[in-house]
Amino acid sequence: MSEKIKLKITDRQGQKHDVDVEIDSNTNLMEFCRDNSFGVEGFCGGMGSCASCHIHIESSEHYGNPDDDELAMLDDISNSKTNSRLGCQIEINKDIDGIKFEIAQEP
Amino acid sequence: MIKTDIIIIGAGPVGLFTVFEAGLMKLKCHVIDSIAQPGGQLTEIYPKKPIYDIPGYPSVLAGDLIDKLVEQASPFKPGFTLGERAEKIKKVKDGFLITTNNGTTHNAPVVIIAGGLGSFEPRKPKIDNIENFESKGIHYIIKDPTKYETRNIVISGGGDSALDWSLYFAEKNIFVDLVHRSDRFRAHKDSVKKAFEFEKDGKMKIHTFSEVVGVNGNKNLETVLIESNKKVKEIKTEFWFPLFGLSPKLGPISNWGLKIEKNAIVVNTFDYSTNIKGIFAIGDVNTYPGKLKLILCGFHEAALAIQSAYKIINPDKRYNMKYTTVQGIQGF
Repeated sequence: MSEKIKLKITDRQGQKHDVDVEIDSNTNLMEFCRDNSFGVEGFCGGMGSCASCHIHIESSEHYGNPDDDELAMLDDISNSKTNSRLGCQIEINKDIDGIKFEIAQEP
Repeated sequence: MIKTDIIIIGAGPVGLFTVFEAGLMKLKCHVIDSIAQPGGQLTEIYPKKPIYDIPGYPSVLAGDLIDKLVEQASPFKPGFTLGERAEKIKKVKDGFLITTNNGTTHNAPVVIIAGGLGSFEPRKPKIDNIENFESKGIHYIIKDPTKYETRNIVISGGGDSALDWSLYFAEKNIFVDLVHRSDRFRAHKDSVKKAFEFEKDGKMKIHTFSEVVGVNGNKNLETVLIESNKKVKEIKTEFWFPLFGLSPKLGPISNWGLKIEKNAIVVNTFDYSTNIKGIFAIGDVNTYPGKLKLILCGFHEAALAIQSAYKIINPDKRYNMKYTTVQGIQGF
């Protein structure tokens, strides 16, 4: 039995979901949200090039620092905030256990 | 009215390769795409990213792959309706009639949808009265830049599109106010460097940590309000181009009576035909058990779809498949 972590997700309709997710190698938040009907498209496939997996982190922790490419992408979205991240750049592992985030509205 | 053998919707890699496959079977194609240049998401979203899973190319930049596919299709002289979205479809006696949002009509016995994730729609900034000036000074896509050759223009964004167009206009001695929300640019480093050189030369002004927050005018756009460090400045201009990228939407195709599941068109894997005879769907736009959204899978789907398309277009003819090594390329 593989280890599980908790994700606290607010979807685009404002509904809150507490989900237990198995720590699966090579899966990121965009892929989890896309494959579990959270309405995230992830159409660039995780290259950080489309921002369709834009999320707002609501936890106090930062979960790593976005690199310059991710920041530049976020700068180009009208509804990005200081707590914005791209879900495709955050891998699901035990470091993010308990992460709370809101899936941003499509700009 | 444009008449052809096959109307291809989508000028991405799969649509372009369909032109080639059809050409081998002496079928003529016309390609419609909402973006003003061929390439689909490869050109629009990740032209500078290397792709590693195209057979025969250990590594190829997305933009270069598109250039090669355009070159490969060119002997078959495809027609293009670019910068227009396929809007309506109508079944007619000799096939289908497709009309774009600009009213261009196309007629063919076969339609192949290679629309990727749909037509690309611009990301619009949230400004209250922005709709009042759309196409009256505010343009999200630049198709024909000669229409905007005036004294000065305003461009927003930090990506390649924003920088490339800023440089284009500045080179033509049209003063550019480039407005960007930070001092980081997604655009190619060389373009950014050149933009700052142009600023030194007085050809443009780069407003970093700034946003356009308002637009004014009587009938057409007359001024934009730029906010920097909580101060708002009004700039007179006839044109503002918010270039924040495009995001795909399946759009009008979803109302064409095609069977759709999870935003994709359901097809029969025998020949990637849809529930409407004469319409095929290939590449990222389709779905079937075991579907993999890979460019190389789209290429395979194109080759098979064309076999059935041939039979619809030439019901009384038998096609004897020959390798390109045998027959070479006989363009039109």
